[in-house]
Amino acid sequence: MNPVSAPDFMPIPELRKMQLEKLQKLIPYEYEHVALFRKRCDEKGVKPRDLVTLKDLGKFPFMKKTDLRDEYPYGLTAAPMRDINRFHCSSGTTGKPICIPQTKEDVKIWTNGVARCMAMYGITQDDIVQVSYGYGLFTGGLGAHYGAEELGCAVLPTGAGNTEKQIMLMQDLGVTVICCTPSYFLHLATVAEQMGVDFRRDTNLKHGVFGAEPWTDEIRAKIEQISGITAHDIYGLTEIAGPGVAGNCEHCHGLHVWEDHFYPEIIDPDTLEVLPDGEEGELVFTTLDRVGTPMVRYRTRDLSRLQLGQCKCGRTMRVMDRVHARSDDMLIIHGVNVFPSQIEACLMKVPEIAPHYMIELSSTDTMDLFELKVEVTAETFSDSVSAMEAIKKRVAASIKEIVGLSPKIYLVAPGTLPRSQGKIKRVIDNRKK
Amino acid sequence: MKTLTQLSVFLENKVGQIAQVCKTLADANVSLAALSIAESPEFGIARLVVDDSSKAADALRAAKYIVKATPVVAVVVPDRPGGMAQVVTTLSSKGCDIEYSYAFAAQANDMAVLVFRFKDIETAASVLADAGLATIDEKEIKS
Repeated sequence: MNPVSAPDFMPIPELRKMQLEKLQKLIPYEYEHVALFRKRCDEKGVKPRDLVTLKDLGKFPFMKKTDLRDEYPYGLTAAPMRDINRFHCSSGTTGKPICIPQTKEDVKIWTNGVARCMAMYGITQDDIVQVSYGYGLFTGGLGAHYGAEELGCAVLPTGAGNTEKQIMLMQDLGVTVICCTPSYFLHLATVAEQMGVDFRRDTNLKHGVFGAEPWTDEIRAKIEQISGITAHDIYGLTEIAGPGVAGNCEHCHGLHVWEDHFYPEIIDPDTLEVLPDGEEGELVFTTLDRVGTPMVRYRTRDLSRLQLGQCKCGRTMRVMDRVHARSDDMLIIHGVNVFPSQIEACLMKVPEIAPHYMIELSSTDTMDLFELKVEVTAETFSDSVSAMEAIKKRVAASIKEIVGLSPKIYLVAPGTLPRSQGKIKRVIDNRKK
Repeated sequence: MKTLTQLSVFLENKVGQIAQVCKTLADANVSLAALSIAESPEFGIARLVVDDSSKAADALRAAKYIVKATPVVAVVVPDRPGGMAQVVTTLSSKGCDIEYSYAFAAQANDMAVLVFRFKDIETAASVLADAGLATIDEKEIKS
């Protein structure tokens, strides 16, 4: 076992004691240094000394993405600038981004989370790791980079884009691990096919470390089937660290959360009550070690579930369900709740089309127009209009069955829908608010 | 049996799509003998007969089009009233199912070429041969 994995197996009583001790330091620190947190605690009538047991964390106020926006750039920063070592920002689709100033130690905690995920996937210092996540303000590239370096791997920092060159380097250097978004990997696979490169035959690729966007079991199965690699799930978010907050072992159907660093809770997003382990709700994290920009009860908007109980791998850290959906992502179309991940799962059932899609919503005065663009593939393209219309009908039927809506389906040329190099945008909502 | 290789190209329903296909072929120095477009409200399928289908397919694929090669039968008939009627009457009397068809005028000699896509190309070809109707292949398009 890699020494970096040692904390994964910490006995539970010891883990809970450690979490409580860390929280009892964090809460007073946050109260002292972050005005917004202090104000909210005061409004709720809760004091740092009220944190006596882990359960008492539920008395403290939440933080949300809007707080990070409102307090941009330094309002939630607890450490003085001389201790800040790094900034990361998260893609703001509108207006200001969010900014997370971090100390050197904060970056080390983040690195530790990624390294422990990679060690759990079976990656060792013998591996050659290609990092095809974007580098820069986005945490994907540097996070995977640090984690792989920490394990002593040979790191190839290609970043995102220039796909043909990436495939050439992957072959020539004997890359064994690829880190990227699942949708970018599918794009790599398409380009490799065009180049006549077969991942099984022509590369040494064994592992894929996939994250930064919600993905489904169907996409995972597809990736493994077309490439012969093992697809691993890495979860994280810039607000809490970056990638490496949680990852899957070979036994669990979810992801072990490194709860010695990141304390998880599940809440009911409507009542905001803490839910017991085993119930689905919104995932909330508290950073137990962060000094630069600590987060207390940060609402991720990700829907998941926490499972308690010893995993076959021996790890004691709780397992969260793979994130299929963000509560933010939910669309209401004709009054029906629709998650883009449901659309993706439907499309995976239609082998004639590529798993790339774009949802476009617009509205007339009285109703929503729901359009779905999907890509035709070279294998299934036919010279017959009726055969192509039949593919459209199969897509529509598959969506109708699961989602209960009948979008207007547009077939588009292969390679024309956006592939993600960071976080993918699969919904264009032009409806009048 | 002589057949032709027809190339079908997927087109999104946007202005300039056909022009781009033609430009790609021109740049590859491929000559277009016939073009037929099947359209639905959201997409189109351009079906092409060219003088060098493998060169055309390579050029189109290199330009990121999806291309499908389909065997079709090209029948040569006199370019006058009733020319096509005779062929399709023969075919239908023998129960040959035509998926689609289009025509182009042959060079110089007052002949027309009818392109047919059949469900069952083998049967259709033997019906045409039995009726004494001439078919052409790609080499004859070049001439």
